[in-house]
Parts: sequence; structure tokens; C-alpha cells
Amino acid sequence: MGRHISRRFYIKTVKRLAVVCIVALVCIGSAFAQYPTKPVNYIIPFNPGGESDIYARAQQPLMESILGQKVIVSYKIGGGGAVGWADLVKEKPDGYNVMGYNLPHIILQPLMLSNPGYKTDQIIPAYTFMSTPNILAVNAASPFKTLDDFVKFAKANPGAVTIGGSASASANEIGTVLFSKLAGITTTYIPFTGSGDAIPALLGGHVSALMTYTTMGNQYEGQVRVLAVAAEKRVPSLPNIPTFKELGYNLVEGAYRGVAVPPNTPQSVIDVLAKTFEKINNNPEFAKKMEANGFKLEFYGPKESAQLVADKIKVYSQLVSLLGK
Amino acid sequence: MTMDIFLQSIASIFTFQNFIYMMIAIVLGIMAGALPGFTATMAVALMVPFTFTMSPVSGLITIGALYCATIFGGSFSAILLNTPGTPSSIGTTFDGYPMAKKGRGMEAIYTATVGSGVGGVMGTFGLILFAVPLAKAALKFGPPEFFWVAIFGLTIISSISEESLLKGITAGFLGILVSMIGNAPVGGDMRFDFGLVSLQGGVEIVSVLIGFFCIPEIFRMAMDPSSTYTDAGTGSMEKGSLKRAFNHVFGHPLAALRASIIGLIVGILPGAGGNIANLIAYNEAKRASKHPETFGTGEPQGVVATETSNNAVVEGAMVPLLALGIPGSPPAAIIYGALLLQGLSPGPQLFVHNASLVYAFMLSFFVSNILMVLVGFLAGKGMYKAVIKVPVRVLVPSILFLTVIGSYAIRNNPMDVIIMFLSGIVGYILEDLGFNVGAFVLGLILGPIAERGFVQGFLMGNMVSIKSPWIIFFTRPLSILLIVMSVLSAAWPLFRAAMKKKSAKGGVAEALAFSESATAKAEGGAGKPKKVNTDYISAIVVLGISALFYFEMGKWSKYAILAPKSILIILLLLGIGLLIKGKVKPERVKLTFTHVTRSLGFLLVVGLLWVFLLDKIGFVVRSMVAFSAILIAYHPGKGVRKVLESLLISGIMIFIMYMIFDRLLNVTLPTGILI
Repeated sequence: MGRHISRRFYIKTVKRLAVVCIVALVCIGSAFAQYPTKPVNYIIPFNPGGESDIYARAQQPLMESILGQKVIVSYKIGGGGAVGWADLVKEKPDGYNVMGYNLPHIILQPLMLSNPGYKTDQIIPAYTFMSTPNILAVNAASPFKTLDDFVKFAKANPGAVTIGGSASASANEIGTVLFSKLAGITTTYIPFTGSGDAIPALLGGHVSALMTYTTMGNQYEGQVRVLAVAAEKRVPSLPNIPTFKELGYNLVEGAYRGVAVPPNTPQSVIDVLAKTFEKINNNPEFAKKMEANGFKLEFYGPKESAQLVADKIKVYSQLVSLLGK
Repeated sequence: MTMDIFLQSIASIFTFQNFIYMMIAIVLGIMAGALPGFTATMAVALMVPFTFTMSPVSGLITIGALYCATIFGGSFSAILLNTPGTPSSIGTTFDGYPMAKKGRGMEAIYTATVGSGVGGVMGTFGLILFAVPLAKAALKFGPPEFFWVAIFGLTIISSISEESLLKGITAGFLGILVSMIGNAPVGGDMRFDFGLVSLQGGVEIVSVLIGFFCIPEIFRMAMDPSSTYTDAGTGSMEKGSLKRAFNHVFGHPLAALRASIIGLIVGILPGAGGNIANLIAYNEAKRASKHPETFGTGEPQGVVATETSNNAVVEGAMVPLLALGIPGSPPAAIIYGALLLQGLSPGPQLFVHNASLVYAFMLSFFVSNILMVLVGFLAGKGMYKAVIKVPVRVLVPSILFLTVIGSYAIRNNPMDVIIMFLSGIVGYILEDLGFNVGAFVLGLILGPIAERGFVQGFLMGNMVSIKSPWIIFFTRPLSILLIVMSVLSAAWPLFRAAMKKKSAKGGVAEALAFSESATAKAEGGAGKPKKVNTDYISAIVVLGISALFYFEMGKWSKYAILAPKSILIILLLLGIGLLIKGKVKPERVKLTFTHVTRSLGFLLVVGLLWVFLLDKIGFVVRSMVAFSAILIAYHPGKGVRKVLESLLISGIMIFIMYMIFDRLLNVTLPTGILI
């Protein structure tokens, strides 16, 4: 009898222990469960329809299939990205709110604004996935066939050459200022509210040229003529266009875009994000589509991105004085 | 277009699948448009990912239908709640809401529905027949022309504020001043952020719209929560609404045509959209009318003008997009992105390589506009009945709840909600002082366009003359045309007033009331003692605000400081002008805003707590407490039943809104402590 009871007791205890173990396992499991366990917000601090948005929209379905979670693209617009980034640094560092980040924006804003609401080192890049080098483009009907024609005319008519671009204190403006300095010409830079807003001004003949991004060169092929690309080497999307370097101007300038997280985000979360964006860039179909639209794919992981930002800070802090602020 | 492509395109539209997609898009679009704060841009952006799984034709057709329906849906809230659902329906509030108040809400909604359909169909004709030449013509508009377009738009102020031109102009310039908060368009300097990062994105027009138009109406309702929605009975008015609506539109074919053309042209101009088109169309309708004094008091032609024009804008915006690859409006920019991701490059090549796709997209606007009208009749009737049936004491917290979510959803910025509610209070007071909030809104919308055009044009002038670049504003043929139009438009109301004075026999009021409230106020103020000199008060308000902004000015770059400086000088002069007028020919009115009933006072306190604690306390708890507090306070009954009933109503309302915004529309709601 006693044995019987003790045996029942034994079985019961084992059962209980098993339940406890399972519960504990589930608890530990969920605590260590692979990020992400719920939908991820992918926030774009710019207007829908711009370069960042187009790229994010293309990434979204691939992100969902890799992460196994819903990815919600939303917008936090204002101040040329500053409003969004000021918000990002205050977000919970759990990886569920990630935001597009842009160079040179996150360097130039804290350098030039009195109260940008964030510091450059608070924007933690998880991955830098693409860049759009500057191009100098003119209307397809323009008399300027080469960069040389353009420089010659500008030298003969100082100040009368107008170059449009996206925003002030941007890669486009810096490109214009640097190029003018290198070529020894005086030009007038006219900022527009985005790359897309500057295009009608060029097509309508209201500006002499645009300092814009490679994407515009591809998307408006036939309507605009690209004179030169501000990249180290010729870009795959515009194989017939010479670089500024080839033509004797040491101009390499453009915008880099990636995704960033708030400070103190766990490294494991950053690694998951980095792997995801790397995988997406390596998807041949995706890469082909984005390159056709003029995006240059980049593969900067978290460490490489941080190095990129550090390198660019050095360059831009010297350039700020050129912008005359 | 050869017949072959035409038939091929038509065939690709009429599939059962496309029909289903279009219907879903139209229903969602009308819903999104009717929710204040939920714009066409957001609706289109949300739909795009779903279209990736469709064929390019179906995807484009679906987005097109959604865009039309959202713009149309904005008229519902404009008419029923005095809140433009999207900025394209600002002018619809001017006459639609007074119509609803008079018990003609159903007629107003049907009129907006028929007008929208006609505008959409006319716009589609324009798009298909003239896309390429129109797009080429639009390119002639450079920065100087955009400056003059904005000035032309601002001349509407002279027509909508005939009551007091000086105050109208002052309100317009105040609007321009407020529009300068945030990034300078040239130079990039951060202006007037008053040390707040959340102001760096500038003041969101939609928040201000909701505040100015909707909140004062809520206040008026809250003055007496036991009142009824309409001032008159509705029963007899509803009969024959549909017939009258068709009459309003088809009985005046020229008016509908004029509004469509205005919408199409404004839509084609990159950077100008429905927000401007509907106001210009309203102004032109009033100008052409034989009885302009009825505008603002419930004139159906006002609704026809705004709603017809804003739906023609949709097709207009497609013109530069398809013909040149230039997105002319924010929703068009998203469609542009969607096309790129489908592997299609918008622009001239698209017509060559994908002609049948382009024509299918363009032709589908015929179909979706017709479907939209049919769905609109049903949805409009339903929404109208719902608003009429709900007692005012429940309407007050419900509408307030919608305004809070709507102004947050637009940019996920709690500051926008605070600005929304505060501008509601300011708007309530300004109306009493004889300021026209419409003029302020015009300044807010057109200010940035004017400033950009001015500074960019000035820089562009270097191409013409380095010594005096400003001459570029006066030498280009299109600019000259726009200058002439602006002068005529500004002078027209003065001219008409002079004519009227001549022909009028003594004692005829020359003041033409612009808005319903203005009329009511004038009547209420007449013959009562203790009037206040509003000119003096207005002068103090204007000079005070200007001083506040003056001391916020920093060391900005040359081109960033140009416009704020000029506007502040003008405001100083206008303030002095008001002081002189207050001395010489004062306008004395008995102020009504100082009269605050207990129920209104309660609403003010709850509302202020609600918006200021937005990012402190979680969505569900905060909304539940605020919502049910108002319900309980306004409930005429007693005891436990009243509390339970109130809690139940607010619970249901909050659940529905949570599901719609958080789950269906993916709008992140403000969180905090507690849920």
C-alpha cells in the first residue's frame, strides 16, 4: 500500500516537474526568442515617393519574408529628416522602431543647426544599403554636350549659370560648391524641395543644369543629358557617362542611405537587421530592379557604416565653411 | 492611339477581378477621405504594397480608384462636420455645412457626389485627349510663375473677406507667417521653432484645418449639448434630394465645366493641388454667380464648384506623371514609386513601350468615377443618417475623438494634436473678432509656394541680369498674364462693392457675410449694449503675435531671412492700420466667445488635458476616460444607468477606432503609461 502511494506520488511529482520544466522552458525560450517576435516599424523621415521611400517599399516584402514578421512602413516627415531622427534617438532600443538614415544629412544637420534634436553619434547605423552619387545633368535640348562646354560657358558668363538641386546644405549643394571651386567658375545654386521637384525646372529650361542623383539620370533618360558622375568609378546604371575624375575634377560626392536604430540597441538585434538588409541586397532580382533605377547598392555592415560616418564627419566638418554659413 | 490599343486597353479593364479591386478601393477610399486627418497621400501609400501582388494594370487601376474616392470622401466630413476630410474639401465646408445645418445635408452630399463624378469624368477626357501638350505647357511654369500663382491664389482673400478687407488681409499674412515655422526652403535654416524640436517639421496644414473648422463647431454644439444637429427639421427636406442634386450640377453645365477646367489645370501644375483648386473654383463660381451673396449661406453651387474641381485635380495630376514622369502631387509621387517598382519608368517611353497599359489606366478613371458615384450615394446616405440620428451630446465627444486621432495620424506627432486643439480655440476667438479663418488658411497653404517661388526666382534671375535679378518676375509672358489676372481678381470685389453702392438705395448692408457664423454673429450683435471695439483688440493680437515671432528671429542666412522680415514689416503696418481704423471708423461687436457655458467649460478642460497628456498616458485609457467623462457629464439621465450607458458607448467607439486605425490602417497610436 505504502509503496503504491509512494509510486503514485512519484509519478505525480514527475508529472509536476515536467510541467514546471516545460513552463520554464517556454519562459526562457520566449525571453531568448529570436528578434523579432512582433511587427517591425520601418520609419522613413522623408516624403513618400522619394529615394528612401522607393527603396524601402521594395525592401518591405523581402524583409517580411526574412524576418517572418509584418513590416510596417510609415513616415515621420519634417525638417529634412531632423524631426524623424530627433524622435528615433528617444525610441525604445528594442529594434521594433527602425528608421532610414541618410548621409550627409545626419552629419550636416548637427553641424549647422542650433537645435537639431539629435547628435550624429546617437544615430546607430545597422546597415548602409545604397548610395546615389551626384550627377551633373542638363536638358536633352541643351547646347552643352560635354562637361567642357558647360565649364567654358560658365567661365565666360560668371554667375549666370544656375544649378538646381535637392535642398540646402545637402549632397547636391556641396557637390555644386565643390565643383564650382574645382573648375574655377561662379555658379548660382537653387535648392528645390526634393530631387523630383527639381526635374520640372530642368525640363522647362528654368535652370541651366541640375546637380542631382544618379537615379534621376536613369529615370529621365532621353529627357536629360548627364554630363558627369561624381563617383570613384563609372556606375553600372550609367556605363557611358564619364566620372568627374576622368575629366580632371576630383569630385566624389553623393548621398548614402541605410537603416538606423536608437542608441543602446542590443548588438544581437542590430546583427539580425544587418543580415536581413544584406540578404535583400544580395537578392539578384531586387538588385537588378534597383540598379535599373539608378541606385548604387552598398554593403556596409554596422561596423563599416560607423567607419563610413566617422570618415565623412572629417570631410564635412571642413566643408561647412564653404557653404557660407 | 490606334483602335487596336484602345480595344486592348478596354478589355484589360473589364475583368471581374478589377471590378472587385476597384470596389474595395472605392469603399476604403471614401472611408479614409471622410476621416479628418487621413489624406489621399496616406491612403495611396498604404495601398501600394498590396498592388505589388497584382498585375501592373490591376495595381494602377486600384490605386487610381482609391485616389479619386479619397478626394471625394473628404466632402462627407466637410458637409456633415464642417471639417474638410482632406485639404481638397476646404471650400466645401463654406456652403455644405450651412446646407446640412438647414436640414439639406442629404442634398448637399448628393450634390457633392454628382459633382465629383462629373469632375472626374471631365478630368479624364482632358487627361486622355491632351495629356502630352498639357504637360509640355505646364513646364513653362517656373519659379517666378509659381510665385505669381500663389499671389493670384491670395487675391481670393479680397473676395472671401468683403466684411472687413483689412482683417482678411491681416489674417492672410498671419497665415503666411505661421507657414514659415520650420525649415527655410532656401538656406535650410531652422526658423521659428521656439526651441521645440517637434515644431521643426513646421505647422501641419491638416491639423490647423481640423482645428479651425471643426473645433469651433464642437464648441458651439457643447454650448448646449441638448440641442439638435440641424436648425430645422429634416423630414420634408430629404424628399427629392437626389433630383435637386442632379439639377444643381446638370442644370448649370457651364459652372461644372468651369470647375472641371480649373481643377484639371491646377492639378497639372506640379506642386499645386486640390487644396488650391477647390478654393479657386469656389471663388470663380461666386464671381460668376448672379447672386454671390448667397455663397457662404448654403449655396449648392458652392459645393458643386469645389467638389467638381477637386476630382478633376486627380486626373490633372496624372498628366505630368504619365506624359513626363513628373509627379505633380504627393499621391502622384507614390504612384510614381509604385510604377518604378513594377519595372515601369513613367514618362514619354511609357507611351511607346506600354501604350495599352497607360491607356487602360487613363480609361479606368471613367469606370472608377462612375462606380464612385454609385457607392457614394449609398455611403453618403448612410453617413448622413448616422450623424443626424446621434444626439449632439454623443456627437461632441465622438467628433473630438476623431479630431485627436486624425491630427495625430497625419504625421505621428503629438505636437500636431496640441496645435490642432489650440488653433481651434484661436479660430473660435478670431471669428468673433471678425477675422476670416479661410484667409488665414489660404496664407498657410500659399505662403510656402510664394516664398519658394520668390527666392528661387530671385536666384534664377541671375541668368537674366546679375545686377537686378528681380526683373525676371516681370519679363516673362506667363508671369505678366498672371500679374494681370491677380490685379483683376483683387480689384473685382471692390469694383462690385462700388457698383452696388451706386445702385443700392439707403440702408442696404454692403457687408456680404461669408460664413454662416459671421452672419449669426452680426445678427446677434446688432442693437445690444456693451460692444467692444474689435479693431483695437485685433491690432493688439496681431502686433503681439508679430512681436513673438520677431524675437524668435535668429542669425539666418540671407535668403532664409528675406521673406520673414518682409512679412513682419507688412504685419506691423497692418497692425498700425487696424489701430487707425479703430480710432476713425471702429467696428464694434458684442463678443460671444466670452460667454462660456458650464458644458463648454467642461469640454475645454477635458480637451486640453486630452491633448497635452497625449504621449503621457496610453491610447485606450486616455480616450476612455476623456470620452466617457464628457458623455457622463452631458447625459441628462441619472444614476448607474447613465454611467454604464456612457461607458458602453465610449468603449464601442474606441474599440472601432482602434481596429480601424491600429489594425486596418497601420497608424501607430500614441502610447504611454498603460495601454
